[in-house]
Amino acid sequence: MYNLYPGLILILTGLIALVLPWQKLRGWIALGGSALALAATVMLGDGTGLAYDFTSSIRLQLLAVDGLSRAFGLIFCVMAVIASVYSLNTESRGEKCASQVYAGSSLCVVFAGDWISLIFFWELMAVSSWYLVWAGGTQRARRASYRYLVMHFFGGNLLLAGAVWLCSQGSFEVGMLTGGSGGAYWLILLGVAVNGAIPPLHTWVADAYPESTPAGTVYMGSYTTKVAIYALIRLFAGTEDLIIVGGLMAVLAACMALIENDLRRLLSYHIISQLGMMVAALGTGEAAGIDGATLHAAFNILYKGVLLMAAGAVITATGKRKISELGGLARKMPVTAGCFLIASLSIAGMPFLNGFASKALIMESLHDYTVGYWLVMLAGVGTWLSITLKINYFVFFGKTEKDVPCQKVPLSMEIAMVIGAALCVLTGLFPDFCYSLMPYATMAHPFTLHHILEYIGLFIGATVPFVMLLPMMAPHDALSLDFDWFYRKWIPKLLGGLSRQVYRVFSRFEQIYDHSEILCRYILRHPLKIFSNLHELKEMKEEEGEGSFEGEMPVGAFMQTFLIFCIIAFLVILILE
Amino acid sequence: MIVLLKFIAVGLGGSMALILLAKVAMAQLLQRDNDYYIDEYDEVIDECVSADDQGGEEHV
Repeated sequence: MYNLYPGLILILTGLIALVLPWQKLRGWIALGGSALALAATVMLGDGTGLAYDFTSSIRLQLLAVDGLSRAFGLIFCVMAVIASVYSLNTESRGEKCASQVYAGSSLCVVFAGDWISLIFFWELMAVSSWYLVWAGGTQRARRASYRYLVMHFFGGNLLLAGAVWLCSQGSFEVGMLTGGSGGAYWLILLGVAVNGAIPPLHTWVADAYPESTPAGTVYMGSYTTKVAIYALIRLFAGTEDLIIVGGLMAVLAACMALIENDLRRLLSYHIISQLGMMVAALGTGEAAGIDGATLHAAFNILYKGVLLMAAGAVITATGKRKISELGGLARKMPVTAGCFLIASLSIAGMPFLNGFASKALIMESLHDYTVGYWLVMLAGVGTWLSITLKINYFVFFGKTEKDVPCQKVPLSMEIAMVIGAALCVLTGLFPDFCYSLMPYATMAHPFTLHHILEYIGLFIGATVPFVMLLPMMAPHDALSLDFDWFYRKWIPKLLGGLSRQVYRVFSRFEQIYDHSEILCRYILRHPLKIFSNLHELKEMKEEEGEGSFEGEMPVGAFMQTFLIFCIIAFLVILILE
Repeated sequence: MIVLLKFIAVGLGGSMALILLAKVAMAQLLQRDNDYYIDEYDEVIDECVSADDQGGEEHV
């Protein structure tokens, strides 16, 4: 067990699931693989390594275990087990395979000790998660999946360029870059920022996550962004600018969640908000900040997993995804409503649930950074308003005259939600064990009267305006624009315009070639007329029977896009050179 | 008790500020009809499809 490579176990079981013809067995194989990967990760001790000599000078560190990678690895495996239970009834073998490969590649990234392995699994993560969005099956899902892929290839290529830059200086090992500068530093920071959903590069989360399958969203909410938090801790912990960036990110996303009507889109914005808290904490570079960011990422995977599982169960049962079309579901889906309530209280930081324990570390680390502290506090109020109050009231527990028809959800979905919710309670009641698993094992002692009163006061205060302005808090059926407006609205126009220009340029070339060809043929046939008046060209064109080429476009739609891409790529290479 | 009152005030103020920011300012500025983006894509996709239908050539 010592040298079993947990990420590879997940990837292999995914590939086995792809070829197995029996749906039930596929589900159990995936669950067994996840459980085995969890056991293998538990057995990994600090300092465990698995190296492979790629060339005589390049050594791949496939498994480099320390406190940070082990903490992320453990929670990734726990979530893989829960998500496998949730998706036991998934019929699509492609989706089953992609979800296992996705979880496995995420695990491989956190255990990678060199840039080559990290980049390889980073890209594998992007492609496998893309499939989960694409498997949503709708037109919207397909379009969102391609936008997702473009965004992640953009981020992946930035990371690749930065890594190549570092490797060219002889640094193959993944190590701290804090305090650095220069091209490699910024390329890697931007590349990680794409996956970390740092504004304005965050829009893919709210765009793609809601379009995936119910089980796919659970996987997606757990891995890509948390891998980015891992990378930010590993590479940029202590970069103080990230404190303000994280705080603003948390508040902005909380505001977007307040006006959102789509259940899973709202939860996606809250992933960004929670990431903001982690980014702010890791920006301090203190032991409490790094442990806080790590523990908050781990607990976020748990409670956000339950929230997304519950949202998936609601969508499976009702076929509806808009909050304005739902209501009074607590009576029809009591297990789902109960689990959602626990997870929503956890995410807000209710005492004796796990969010409270990890936020205690984050707030402790931010104590000396006033702006960051209050921004994170404000984002916490936003979380309470938009998830704990808004969704619980308008979807599950509020009075309503709506009678939304519900189908029964599979038992495996309910079991997974109950496991997740139980872990939220257990880790909240006994946080010391979780603190001890963090890289610096910082103990926060959250259960002081002062700290509990802080949160109780905050929630009481935040509830008053919600109750007073209840009609205003009701979600409206509308689309909220975000930074993706720039590329969803203007890039199609820009590309369309560029394509037309490229068409024109090429048609001119072809026209010139066409005329030259006619001229040559004419001269060869009538050499004596070579010095005669050239206006005879018109006659000779008619004679040749050639129509004018004016306005014709010589290349197809795909070709024009490809050409534009080549020109842009050439310019980028030119600039980098 | 003072801690409780202080944080009730923080929660109240923060909550009002967020509701005003999100529900008044951002909603006015950012909310559109649900089919806001769809026309844009269909236009571009239609162009591509019509180009493909003509064997990769399109006429202005």
